[in-house]
Amino acid sequence: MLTDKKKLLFVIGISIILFLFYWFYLAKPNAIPSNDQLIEKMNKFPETSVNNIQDKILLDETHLFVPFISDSNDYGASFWVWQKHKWEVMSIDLKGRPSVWKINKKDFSTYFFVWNIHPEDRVQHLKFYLIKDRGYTMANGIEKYHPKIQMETTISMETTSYGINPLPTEWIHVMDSFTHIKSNKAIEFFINQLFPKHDLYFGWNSYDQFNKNSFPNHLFYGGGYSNGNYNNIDELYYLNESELEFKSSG
Amino acid sequence: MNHSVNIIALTAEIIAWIVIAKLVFNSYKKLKNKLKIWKVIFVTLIGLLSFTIHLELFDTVLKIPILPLGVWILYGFLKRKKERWVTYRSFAWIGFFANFIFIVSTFIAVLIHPILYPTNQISTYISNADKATIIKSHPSAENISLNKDRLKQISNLKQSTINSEQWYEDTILNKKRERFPYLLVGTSPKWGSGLNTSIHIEADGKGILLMTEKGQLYFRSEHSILEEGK
Repeated sequence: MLTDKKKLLFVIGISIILFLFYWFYLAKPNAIPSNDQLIEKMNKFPETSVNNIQDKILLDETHLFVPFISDSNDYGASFWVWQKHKWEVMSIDLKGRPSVWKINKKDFSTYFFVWNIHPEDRVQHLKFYLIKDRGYTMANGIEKYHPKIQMETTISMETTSYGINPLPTEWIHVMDSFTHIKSNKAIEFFINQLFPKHDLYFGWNSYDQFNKNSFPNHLFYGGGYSNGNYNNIDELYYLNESELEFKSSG
Repeated sequence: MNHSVNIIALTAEIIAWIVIAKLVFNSYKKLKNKLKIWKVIFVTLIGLLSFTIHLELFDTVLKIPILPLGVWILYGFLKRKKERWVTYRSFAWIGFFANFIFIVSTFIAVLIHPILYPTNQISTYISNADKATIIKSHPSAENISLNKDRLKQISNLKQSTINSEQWYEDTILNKKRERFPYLLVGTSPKWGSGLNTSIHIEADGKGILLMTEKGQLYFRSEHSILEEGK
């Protein structure tokens, strides 16, 4: 009798553990939060005063990109992840500076460029770049030459201030081929130009209606909040035209 | 584009584990008072823990064990009963000794590898090009496409010298027209070699610069593997 009882308790215990595991780690969200819920959560942070949610874009089942406008007329972006059965805000950028969101760091096809740029900046085209710096090394009679890689993709900003874009397929091939020749190390993107490590990194810049390179002034003095444990979002490096190479540049 | 696995290194490691298992099993058979097998395995695995120094030899990192940390840990826990320690001791030391078995197996793998996969032949690195495509990786790239028939005939290309500094200077002087403005993707190395590469193609289509984990190789061909774009 006693052992039967024990068995029953054991089964119940295991079931509860399995259920909790399912609930907190496996269960998919059935709805995305309402605008009011999103605003309420974001405005808990001292510097944030979100006024208007522009859109809610699901990158996959559990990752949500939410561009917004704040009381001070700033265009910002927030990053939400479904975690432990809740939508949690992982990062808020009060100015929606072009960034890359790496849903799964090891899988380049889950990388997305995201942005929200103030319409007053009159950006007509956003350009994203995949760069690897040129260089050479000579050591112990062994020479190495590192060709420059510079690939770009252009996004037209005609309808909305914000957007998301996955990496072009060609970029994914290039990044994969360089990851494979690194033993057991995930590729790292060094934003810092001062220490060219012969690694790939992303960059961006923007052009106005006259196809002139112009930095969106509203992006200055940005602030924000981010969950320190979540480092899958990187702000992109702004590339001046002088750093770029052209088909027949001087 | 799948990651190629070094089958020689993998096999050597599996053989090393089999040898270790055999050693453990032999000592286990000699025991008078039988221990639980999982305890023996556990003690051996702890015995593996050691303070190592990394030594680079022939482009291979060898982990040389110096201090038997695992054996000391086990001694700390088991010393209270002398008899118990004496029975477990041999397995702890087999664990530590196993580190040397791994070194030997790594070394043998490194010696065998270039026999099966010659490091100076391009066919080792580009063995299958059925799914190959060319990517323009620099703005100075022209509108070209890949000549697959030519690409299939590259197996006997000769290795050439990398003049890294000169190439770099030339590019800067030559209005930053990149010497290698294309990447070849979608090829695979010889099966089981683990020799994954990034493949840069020279502007004239006749030079192939291979980047591997260990270094670079440069091959020159008489004919271009590129043709006018369609």
